[in-house]
Amino acid sequence: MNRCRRRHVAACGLATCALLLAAIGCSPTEKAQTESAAQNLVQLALADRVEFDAVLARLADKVVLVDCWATWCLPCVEQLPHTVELAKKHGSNGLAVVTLSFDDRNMSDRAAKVLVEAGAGTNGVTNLQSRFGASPESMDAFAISSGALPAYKLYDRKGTLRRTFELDPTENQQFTPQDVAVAVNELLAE
Amino acid sequence: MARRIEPHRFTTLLETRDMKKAIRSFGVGMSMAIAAAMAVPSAYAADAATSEVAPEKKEQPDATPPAVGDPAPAWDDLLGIDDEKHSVGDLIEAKAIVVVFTCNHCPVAVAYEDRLVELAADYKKNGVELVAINVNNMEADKLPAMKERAKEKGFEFDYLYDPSQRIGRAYGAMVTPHVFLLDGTRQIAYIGAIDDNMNPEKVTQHYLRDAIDAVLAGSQPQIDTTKPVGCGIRYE
Repeated sequence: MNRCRRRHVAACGLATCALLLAAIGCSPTEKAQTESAAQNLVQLALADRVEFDAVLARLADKVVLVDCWATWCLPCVEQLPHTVELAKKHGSNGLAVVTLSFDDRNMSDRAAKVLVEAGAGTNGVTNLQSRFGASPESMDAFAISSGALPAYKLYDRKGTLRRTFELDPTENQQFTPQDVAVAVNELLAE
Repeated sequence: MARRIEPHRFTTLLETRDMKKAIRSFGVGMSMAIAAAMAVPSAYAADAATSEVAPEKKEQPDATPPAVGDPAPAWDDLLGIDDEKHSVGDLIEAKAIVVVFTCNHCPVAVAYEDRLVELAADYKKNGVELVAINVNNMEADKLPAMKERAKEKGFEFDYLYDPSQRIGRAYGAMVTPHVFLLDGTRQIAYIGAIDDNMNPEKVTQHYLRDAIDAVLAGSQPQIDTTKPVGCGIRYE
């Protein structure tokens, strides 16, 4: 009898919670599902330097553009769609695009969501995340000499790093996404 | 199979002051040649068929940012959040000065604000001054916003604004936060990150605190250069 009553009370409690959450609009469960769905659409593969090089090796014979970014870097997030546009435009001409996130692992879902919003979940983009997160070790591992993001690396079809785009305070003008696009075109034309 | 080698390991070899000075005197092109000659290939690249070019860098000898051991660029009459003008000469008594380029909008810089407040308080009694400088000109970073943030966070140190960005370029500041530790003779003793993780709970290496302790003890920091991590400064 008592067991029956406890079940009844528990069921009522759950129903009340569900109604309350529905009334709020976006429940924590829904939020988690959204984040989870984002992660399902974009798989961020953890990479150290060796794993990163292995990915590049698999893309041999293609021009490879690597977009080094992070969710904590506002210009990076703004420029991601531009990188995706390059993938869309030149994917069939031999361009492979790799994104490399410098976020900590507890930010993977957030990074995946940003990538989905930028269109990097499709369009043949390979999405990586540094195993070292947002740390000097990450910058060392991937040779970001400035420590500043966004940074881009561009490899030719032979696998040689031909261009890097990083902040340089000794320059009067910093690089723009257009500069990256021009360099991509140049290497594709070789 | 094409293999990629990048020069990040070369950089490690070039981290000592003497090497950097020697190489700079040869010019950037020669430095890359020396770096390539000294490179120790990593295991995964041991049988590399091709070697990569170093990241390109336009040769601008006059604009070369200072390295560890160089005299620190001076700042003069920079406006602070107290509406007063500040110069490095005001801190003549300081045994060491931590110059940190920071700003309001960058999540990484924000993540370090509490640590800066603690650091400034911890070392004030040892004669160490902390000077925060913002050179970003976004609305969220300008002086009124700086004043607000300083009040909110209880900054007890100078927080200066240089809209000309000249002091940032003079130091070669790349990101926020990017620190430069000046010793008693105002030579640069340490350049780089505050510690090894923007998440305070994951910090294992306190680069800046270790460097300050070394300078106060009259020695050179064991680690005098690290890669900074943060939002690129928006140079205009």
